[in-house]
Formats: sequence, C-alpha cells, structure tokens
Amino acid sequence: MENFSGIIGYISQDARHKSKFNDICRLILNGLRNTELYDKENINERCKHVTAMKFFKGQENDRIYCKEIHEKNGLFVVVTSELLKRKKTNKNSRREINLIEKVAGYEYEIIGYE
Amino acid sequence: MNTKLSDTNDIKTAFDQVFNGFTEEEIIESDARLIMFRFLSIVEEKCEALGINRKQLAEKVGTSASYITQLYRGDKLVNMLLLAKLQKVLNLEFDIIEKKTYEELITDYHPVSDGKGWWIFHTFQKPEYDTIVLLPELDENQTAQAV
Repeated sequence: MENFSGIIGYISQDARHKSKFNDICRLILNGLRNTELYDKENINERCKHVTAMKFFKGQENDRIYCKEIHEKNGLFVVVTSELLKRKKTNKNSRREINLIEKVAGYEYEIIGYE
Repeated sequence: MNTKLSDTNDIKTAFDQVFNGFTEEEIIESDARLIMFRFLSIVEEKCEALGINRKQLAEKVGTSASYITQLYRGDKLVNMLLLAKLQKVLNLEFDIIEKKTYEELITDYHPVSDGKGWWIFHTFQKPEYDTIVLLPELDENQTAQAV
C-alpha cells in the first residue's frame, strides 16, 4: 500500500503510460511471451517469482517490479510492488538487485477477488 | 505490510480508472498490438527453442534487429509480408482460430443423469463411415507399415 500512490501515479500520468501498462497487462492475461515488455527477474532462486514490467526501453527505461503469486486454487496474481525510474544499465546494478530482492521478500495475502 | 479493505477498494477504483479511460480509437490500437503480440510470442518461443537471437532473425528475414525490437515494444505494427517471412525462416505455420466465449464452449456439453448424479459428456465428431479410403497397393515383397 505504501507504494500504491507512486505506482498508480506513474501509470496514470498520461495516455502513453496508461497505454503501455494496458499492453503489458493484456500480455500477462493472455499468457503471451514478450520479454521486451515483461520478463522474469529471477537473479537467484529466492527471486524466482519476481518479474519486471518494462516501460519504454531505450528511452526512459522505467521498471515496475512485480511479484507473481500462484494460489493453490489456480488463481494467478501479479502484484505491482516497486517502481524504478530510469534503469541506467543493461545489467542489473546493485541498486536494482537490492530492489528485486526486496520485492522477493514481500509477502502478500490474497483477501478477495471478483 | 497490512492493507485494509478500504485501501483495497481504493486500489481497485484507481486501476479501474486506468483500464476504463481509453477512447474507442485507443482500444482498437491496443487490440491491433495484442494481435501482433500473439504472433510475436510464438516467434520468441520458437527463436529460443532454435537458439536464434534477434540479430540473426533480422538477417534471415532481411530487416534490422532494431525494427524487430520496435515491434516487440509495440512501437510499430507488423505487416503480413514479414509474418510470412518469419513463418518461412522459422519453419512454422501460424494458425488462426476464432476465440469462443464460455457460453459457446459449453453448448456441446450435455448433462446426463445416471441416478447417482449428473455427468457431463463432451460430444465428439462422428467418424465418416461412408468415406472410402483406398489402401496403397503393395507388391509381393513389401510389408505394410503403420503411418
């Protein structure tokens, strides 16, 4: 919740960001592979459920790090957890690794859905 | 991190506003990208299976790696000629099917009772018994093989 306003503010700042977020969500919901927009960030065993939504690679190069949760009843949830603006290098820097490991440590409980 | 129910409603409302705020034109453009992403998803999986990187793929279809990257990012839309070339170089064939709604999918299912409960069976296509298929003629030294 503490990251909610930052993430929703980022996504909804303009039509371009909304559209990109919508594209990424549709990829996920349709089970499509496109590592240019959404990919695993499984830098180690502990982080195997951490993923990144990639916004405007080659330009702003922003990321929203997410955690994928697979419930026993088959429910699949992607939680947008941390926003990183302007990823600077292709490889993950210490800053990004720390963030990915932080997301890996988050625990979420799914309390209701439609 | 504890999240109250009122907070979750705020989250839902905020995300609903993001998803529901598109014009008809933007929805059509998004649909067009999604159709392209369906093709590109198959291409990406096939390339990975074959060990082909984007640069090699671009060379094979006579375009640039940056153009293919623009397609994957949704910055440009693919054309049919490139899809045909991708099919050829990756030795695959794209198939198009109409996506059925849930209601359409279940119309073939007929619940049947056996006294203990209700069972649902899926109807299957009846074989064409009247179709005559000629078996290949073999000479004396050949043995038939199942294919």
